[in-house]
Amino acid sequence: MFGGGRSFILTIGDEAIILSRMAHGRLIEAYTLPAEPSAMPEDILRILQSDATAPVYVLLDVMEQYYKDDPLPLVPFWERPALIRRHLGMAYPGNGVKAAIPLNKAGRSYFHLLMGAPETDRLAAWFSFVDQLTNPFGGIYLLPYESLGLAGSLLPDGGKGLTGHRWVALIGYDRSGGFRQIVEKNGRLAMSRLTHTPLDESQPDVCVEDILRDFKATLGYVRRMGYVDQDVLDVVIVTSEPILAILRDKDWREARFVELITPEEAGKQLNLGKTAVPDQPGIADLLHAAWFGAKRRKGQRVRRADADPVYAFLEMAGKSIATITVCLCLAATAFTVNKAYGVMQEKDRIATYESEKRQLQKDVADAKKQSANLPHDPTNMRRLLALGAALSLDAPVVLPDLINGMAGAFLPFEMVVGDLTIRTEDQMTKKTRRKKKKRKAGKKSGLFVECEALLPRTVLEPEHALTLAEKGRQALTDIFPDMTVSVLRQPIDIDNNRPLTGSISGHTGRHSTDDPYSVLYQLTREAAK
Amino acid sequence: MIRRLPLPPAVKFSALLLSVATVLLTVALIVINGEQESVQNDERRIKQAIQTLRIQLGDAKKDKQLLQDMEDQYLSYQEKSIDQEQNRLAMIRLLEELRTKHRLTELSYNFSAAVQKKLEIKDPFIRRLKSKKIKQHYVMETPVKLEVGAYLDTDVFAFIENLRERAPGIAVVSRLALKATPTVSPRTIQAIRQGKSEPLVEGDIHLLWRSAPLKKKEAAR
Repeated sequence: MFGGGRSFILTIGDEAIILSRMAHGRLIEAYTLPAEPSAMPEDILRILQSDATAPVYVLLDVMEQYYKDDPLPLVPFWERPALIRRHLGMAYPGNGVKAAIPLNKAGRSYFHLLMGAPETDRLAAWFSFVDQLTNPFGGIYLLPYESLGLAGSLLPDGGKGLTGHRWVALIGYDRSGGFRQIVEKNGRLAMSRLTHTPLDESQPDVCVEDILRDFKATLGYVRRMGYVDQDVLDVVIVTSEPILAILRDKDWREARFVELITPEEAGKQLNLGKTAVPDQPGIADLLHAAWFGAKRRKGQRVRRADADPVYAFLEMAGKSIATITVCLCLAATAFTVNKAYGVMQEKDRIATYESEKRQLQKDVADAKKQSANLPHDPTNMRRLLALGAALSLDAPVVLPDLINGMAGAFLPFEMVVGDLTIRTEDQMTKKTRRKKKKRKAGKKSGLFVECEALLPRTVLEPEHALTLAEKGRQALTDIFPDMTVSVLRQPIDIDNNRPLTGSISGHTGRHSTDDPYSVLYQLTREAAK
Repeated sequence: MIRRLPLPPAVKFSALLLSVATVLLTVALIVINGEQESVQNDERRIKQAIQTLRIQLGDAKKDKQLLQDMEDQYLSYQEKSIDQEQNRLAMIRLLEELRTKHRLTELSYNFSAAVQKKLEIKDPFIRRLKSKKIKQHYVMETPVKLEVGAYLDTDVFAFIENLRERAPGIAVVSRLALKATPTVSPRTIQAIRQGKSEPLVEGDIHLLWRSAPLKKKEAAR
């Protein structure tokens, strides 16, 4: 994103300005710049423009830097930028570069490390110079905070298994600032001191005395910050070899480890490139710059008071945005996976259907084969059966069934079938025929049956004859449930609306035995609709 | 100024993740949607094919069962030559045989002129048989009136039933009227003893004698 791992680090100190050029995590060259940007040599500008996609980071190594742990109340994330801005404004009034780093939650407060540096005219001029460059601007960072971890990485022991706190002090000479001490407590910035004591390598004894004096003072500060005997203190001193040689003979009883190393050795150990200044090998500026430049994730950029509010918001809400983005991506992925799973299931179903289809095809083929293997030609069978059905369409009820039914109906009553008339609808009246024409073709014809039943001659009483006639009607109804059975003529005409003639002889009310009672039944079946 | 500002790492990560996820998921969704559409089309097609096959299988089974069940009927139709021209001579010979067999005292016949009718094929049973060839046939229908006399009505019934079974083609009884002699007098019994024809039951039988020969055009072919 920033030009293939290339970048420029502009270290701005009170005493000097150094431009370091990084490529793929290694410092490849460095230039000492004039104190004022207006006096910037052309060749430096050309160097910057020659790699216009490499971002320029500003690393502040000025004396005036402030760090403060500040408890903030728990508020929603969108209100946090304004609250932090307010707290930063209260902690460091006026113009300057400021930032807040969330540390930890304690109770109903959220501790932040507030840090900042006042924006002097010189700094403002440098910021303006960087703004005018065509290179992307990587941001402004504070050197003590960005160099956290540098000392720890030079020590052989990471401090595992300790019961107390681990303090690590990094001591070195910076050309840009002076004698810089950075003290970490458990990986967090505890304090940083800068004294304008220039490195005079021609007088190593003096330098050693300065170092020991300042270290003693720092130790006093550290004790006041809570250092106790159970804690451990590791010290890393980065300077030139003559000074280190003297320091090796000193008593370092306060410290558990003391690592004395030159900037060049440190650079080699950490694979940071050319970290030694040729004319002044004890200077650690380049080591700090290389350490910062090699970090893929920078520590914390500080913002100027007039910094872009959108960027400020994005920076503060970055984690929330990232969380929401991850959730969105996960949801979209879940949706996609679910959809894909659905498609897979559908494919499985299709495989089942395919199997079913193959089985059905086989079954159909088998069934057709079996039909074809019948002893007779199926085509001819179909033809003849269809013709037979078409020719028999209006055939009335099967005659034997009708006759046997009649006989069966009368059997218990010892009646015999007398006159019998069976006709289909075709022989019905003209009126009925007209009705039939209205019916659709292909319907079965109606059936009309008239049957006279002769009662046994032993039946003499008219009441007995009427009872038998009714039983016969009931029996016919039971046998032919699809037909309407009615009595057309009773054994004796008891209908008051019709005339009745007869003769009575012998016993009163007895019928003549030579003239048996008879009943005329009518059975009709309507044509199927 | 803003243009030159790099985004905060978390936002950069979000933007990168969102871009990559959008591209990947869009491509994935396009592929999945295409695949889903194709799969759904396949599923629809195969379901229709299965449905058709099930119907075919059911029909095939029913057909097979039908043909098995109707074998006797088929043989009967074959024997009765229902797809041939009507043969009046054969019919008269049959009437003669049945008259003797069923002891009819009287039998007279009256054949009307045959009429040609269109074959009725809308019946569900006929449709089920799926015979395309029946359209090559027509109906030849001859109304036949029979006047019979017998001693017993059961003889008449047996005659009719036998006639229906054995008549060439299809004989449909459209009307049957039987009249029994109300009383049997000694004179009637005497006449029977002397071998005279003295029916006790008289009947009119109306037949519709049908067959379905091939249409002349088809027969010529």
